[in-house]
Amino acid sequence: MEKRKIYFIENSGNYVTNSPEFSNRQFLKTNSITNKIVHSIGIILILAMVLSFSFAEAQSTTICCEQTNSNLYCQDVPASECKTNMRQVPTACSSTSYCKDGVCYDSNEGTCTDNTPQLVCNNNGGVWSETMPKQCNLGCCVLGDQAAFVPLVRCKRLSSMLGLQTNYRSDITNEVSCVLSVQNQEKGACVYELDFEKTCRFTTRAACLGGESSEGMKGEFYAGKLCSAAELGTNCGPSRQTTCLPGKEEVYFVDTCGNPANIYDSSKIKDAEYWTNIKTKTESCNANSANAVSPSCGNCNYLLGSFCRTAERGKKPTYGDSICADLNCEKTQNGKSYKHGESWCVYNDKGNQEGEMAVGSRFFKHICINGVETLEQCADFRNEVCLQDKIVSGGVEFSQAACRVNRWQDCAAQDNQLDCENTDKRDCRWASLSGVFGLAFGNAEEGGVCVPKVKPGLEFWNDNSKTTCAQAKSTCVVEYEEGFFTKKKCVKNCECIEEGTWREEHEGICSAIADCGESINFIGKEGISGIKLNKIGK
Amino acid sequence: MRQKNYIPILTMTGMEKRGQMTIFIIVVLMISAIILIFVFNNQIKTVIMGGNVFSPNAYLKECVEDELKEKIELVGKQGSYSSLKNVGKVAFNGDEYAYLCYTSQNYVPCVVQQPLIKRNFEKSLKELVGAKANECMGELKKEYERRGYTYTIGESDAVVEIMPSAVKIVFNAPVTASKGDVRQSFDKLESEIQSEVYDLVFISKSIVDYESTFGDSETTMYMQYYPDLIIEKTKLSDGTTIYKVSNAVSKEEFRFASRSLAWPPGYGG
Repeated sequence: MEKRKIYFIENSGNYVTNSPEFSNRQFLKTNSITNKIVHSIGIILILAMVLSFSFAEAQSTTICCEQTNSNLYCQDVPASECKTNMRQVPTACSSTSYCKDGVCYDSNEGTCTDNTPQLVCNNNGGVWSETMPKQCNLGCCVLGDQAAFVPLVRCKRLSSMLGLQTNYRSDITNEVSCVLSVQNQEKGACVYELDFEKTCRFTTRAACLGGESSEGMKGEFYAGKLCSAAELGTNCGPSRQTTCLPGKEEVYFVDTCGNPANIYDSSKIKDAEYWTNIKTKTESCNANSANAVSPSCGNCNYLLGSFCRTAERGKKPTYGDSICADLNCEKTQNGKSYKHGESWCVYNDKGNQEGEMAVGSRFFKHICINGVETLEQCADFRNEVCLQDKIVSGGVEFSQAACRVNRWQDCAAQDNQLDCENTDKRDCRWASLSGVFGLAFGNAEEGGVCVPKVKPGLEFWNDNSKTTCAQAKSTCVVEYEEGFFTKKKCVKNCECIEEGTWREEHEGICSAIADCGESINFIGKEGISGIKLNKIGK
Repeated sequence: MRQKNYIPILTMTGMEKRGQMTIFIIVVLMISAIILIFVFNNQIKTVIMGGNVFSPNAYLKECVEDELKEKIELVGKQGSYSSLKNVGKVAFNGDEYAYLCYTSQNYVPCVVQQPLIKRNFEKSLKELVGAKANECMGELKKEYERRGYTYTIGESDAVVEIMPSAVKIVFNAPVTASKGDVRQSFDKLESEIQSEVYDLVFISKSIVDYESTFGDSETTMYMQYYPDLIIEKTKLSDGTTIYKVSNAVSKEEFRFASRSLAWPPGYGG
């Protein structure tokens, strides 16, 4: 007669710093009555949990609160967080009239702000409407030699601030066209008489003939000429001063009337022709170079990493106070040099990015801006990951990085490898398993389970994280057979008690779902407790 | 013969002493004159130029400029608010940041808390600088009276306006100052100081627009379009993002916070 002994093997998932054990236990099943008692207790416990969960849910029901105790408006929060003398409605804020989102229009500035509650808009003196009003339609506002893609009222406001006539083009319907429309305007010297003296302003033809830039006086326009041209006979002449111009990257000479002249070139300071006719960027000194910190040439190039700035001490130009500042970053934290505007990912903790993230780690995006390396964190608990790629143009590489949401949430719901590893929808990987053994996590079938590629972080100091890690619990029932004349031998699921595969696989699942199991933190310190193997029974 | 020789010697010695004394007196007088010119520079200029070097606008600008700059910095750090006492805010590293956009929930974009940032900024500046502006108007009156003018002023009010590259303070006050046949009348007086806070405010408004629509903003794009702009972004564990928008040249700063499209930690929430 053969006896059967059945063993339970349990793999309990835990997180690193708090809950103590990962245990392997072997149970000997004795009789069916005991099982029935255990099942009954289990059912009672489950019912109790469901009831308490319902009660907890009732407690956390939110209402639409006009203003919270924290002075924030139109929030869906529990009633206890609402200011007592403010409106509270037991519904979502989007269903109320006073907290409904809409567009807030500022009639003074001509600006429109979406997603604004009505009461917030009205309290601040704006005009609220549920849909985008016509006043918020965008068009091209020409402001001298610059342009802005803004509503009409905004255009009037900007024009009045700059002392210009309103020039609004509603036929231009996108920003790129708007900017291009002003880039090729003809510029030159606008000569006019003021206080019986012939003077000059460097401006566009339209502004000159319209009297916009010459104290209201309409002048005579000389295309392609600078105000310092001797032949014009004005009171403006060459000087040794330089300046930076709004919207321009280069350093420019300034004439004695304050008008910009050509790009700064110290070798041309006494060149009469250089002070007569307008020279383009390509006709100026070192046109294909950044000219960073060059004392003699102000032909800066923003794309190459230089821009007009006031010169710092020790880096003075030959003439004037402006110089092409170097905007690139030399020897950053990772030892490499980067150009202005480049961004790259940094993951500098003791874990690695192949699923073995350290507890407390997160991704960082570094940016080189104005010669300074700045960093921007991606969301904590690894809810965002950093992605990096290179743009290659003319043989030059330009690194770009961005923080992107870590789409791990529906990994557990995938039951096959194809859906699991669909990178269009999620960031998951398929973890092979030799046997499922009652694994609570996910929707496992024989062969594997879908886990996050970058595991999310946990608030491991809170008790509810134990529930999360317990999902990695699995039970392996080992069957033995023993006869009168034969020794006890394992006949089913014997791999569970052998060294190797089963334990390693399930340890991997445990640490893959979140900050569970044995691990280190982001500075390399090991967790308080590791994994214990306990054998119980015979 | 010997006596004759002494007389020239005696005479020369006396002359030397007198010469030295004269030179000494001249030097003392010159040093005194320099000191007096240095001390009474303004009054001398007034006497020489007939007292015409006085601009009320310039006077007011000098009076209010420092206070205005200080308050611009303060309001900029408080996200356009004069005081954070009744404003939703978050504390980080010892500083407080006003929420311009906020939601207490997860997975949803924020609700705008301050849609008219520029107007709020101007209102806050007016609250903080108003007292100093009135004091300066009082000082202006005293200055005119000190110069012998009869000075009358109607009801006055100061308004602050933020403009591209400047902050303007307008003293709406009908003023009349007269002295003999000279009469000056002003409906209002204006003073402007250089400031880049206008751009910072509108960049911040754009960031708030992105936060309320998409749940986040791409700050690198702004910095590439505006070479003088620096934006520092710090994401906190609770889903709050703190923004510091500053001008690399003027060093002015505008700070605020936003909580939008927050993801809770782990499998909960």
